[in-house]
Amino acid sequence: MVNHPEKDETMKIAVNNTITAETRMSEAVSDNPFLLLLLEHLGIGLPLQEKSLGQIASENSIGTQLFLTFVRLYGDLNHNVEIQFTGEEVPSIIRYLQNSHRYYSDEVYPGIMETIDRMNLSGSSGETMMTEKFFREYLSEVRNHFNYEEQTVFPYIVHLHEKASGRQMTGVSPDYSVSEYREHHDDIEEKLDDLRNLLIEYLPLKEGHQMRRMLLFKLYELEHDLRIHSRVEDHLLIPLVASMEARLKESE
Amino acid sequence: MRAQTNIIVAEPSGLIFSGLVTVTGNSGRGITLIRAESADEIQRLVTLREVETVIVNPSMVTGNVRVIQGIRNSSPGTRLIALVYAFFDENLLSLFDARMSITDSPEKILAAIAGDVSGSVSPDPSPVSASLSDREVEVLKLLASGMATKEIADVLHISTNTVITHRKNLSSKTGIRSVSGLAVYAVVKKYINPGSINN
Repeated sequence: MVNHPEKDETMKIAVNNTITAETRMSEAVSDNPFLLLLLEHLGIGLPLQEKSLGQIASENSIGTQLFLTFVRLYGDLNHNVEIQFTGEEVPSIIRYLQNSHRYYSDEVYPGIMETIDRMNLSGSSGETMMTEKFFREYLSEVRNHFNYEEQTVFPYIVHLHEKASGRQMTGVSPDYSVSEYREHHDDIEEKLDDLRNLLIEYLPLKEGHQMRRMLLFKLYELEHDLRIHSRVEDHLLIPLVASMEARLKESE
Repeated sequence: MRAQTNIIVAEPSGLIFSGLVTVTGNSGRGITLIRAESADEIQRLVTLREVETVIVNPSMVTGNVRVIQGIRNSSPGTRLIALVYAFFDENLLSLFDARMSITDSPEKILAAIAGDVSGSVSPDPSPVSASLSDREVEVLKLLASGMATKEIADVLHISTNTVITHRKNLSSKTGIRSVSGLAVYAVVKKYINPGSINN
């Protein structure tokens, strides 16, 4: 695995360079607490004991290269993903994406909605009502996007994986290709950026300044994880599926 | 203000027009009021001479909003002030640059004419963002009211590409990229009222 440090990347890349399969997982988490979310999305629980990254990966049936790639993406969004896909990465990646959907839908979005409600309670105005409406619109778009992935994209990829690994599927092969996913891949980051900018630059508040700050912190956490989520989709999932599609086409 | 200012007034009531003549005549600012009897006449007068300001009773353009766009096209620098003393739909009022009421003091009316927006009597005035052009504000208002790019192009008599360019400039100046985000921005900046946004 080769890193390509950019001039402006400092600490994070330094940490990434020192992370190997032998690194203690607990140390990596102490250096970068966002890794707690990675572990959760992959279904890995604490406590971590003295285990290394490699041990954690093999105990949880995740390829070591894939796990290291995940950890490095959490340390540096621009980490250059270089991985030779075998196809066995599919279950881990799908699990990661499904669990992160659950984390956003069940935990993060309700938390943000509650904070907006409290901001409204402490001093409702046309502007704060608009902000709430804006976030509700965003939520319905995100739900559509997640539903599309859960109901169309993931089943297709699981099907492809089973076919590639020789397990015969019953039923008809879905008429679909990952290129459609690429086209359908909405940018759900745009509205979150807008919400952050509105809160920081424009939204007047008579009361509820503490709520605004809490809201901004929640948005920051969400944005960070969503950005990694998008990278995983773009740099892991799509290339992986494209390679499986190509291989299956050759063998047919 | 320039030494001599021509202002077109489209106001059906002779009494109110005379009141405006008195207020502006007493100001000593060299303001000449020209009365327009109809919406079409406003447009004709605007194309004939350089006019900085047009004061319009919105009832004269109700159901004929294209006249406003016509004025914008033929005379882009002209400020449009709504003279309001009855209830009008917020969507209609949002097409104007400023508002004045017959209950305003002479000072307020003169300030509105002079382009001092903070002195005008829009319901909740706030400083107009210096960075947005008049045209960008128009596009922003129409976008926020729920219009699609093509509809905005039709209303403003410009190409869809021009609308897209304005939209890009709006986003780069405000930092807000989505239409619904721009709608919130338009409300915060008092360009529109929250009630005038269609879903």
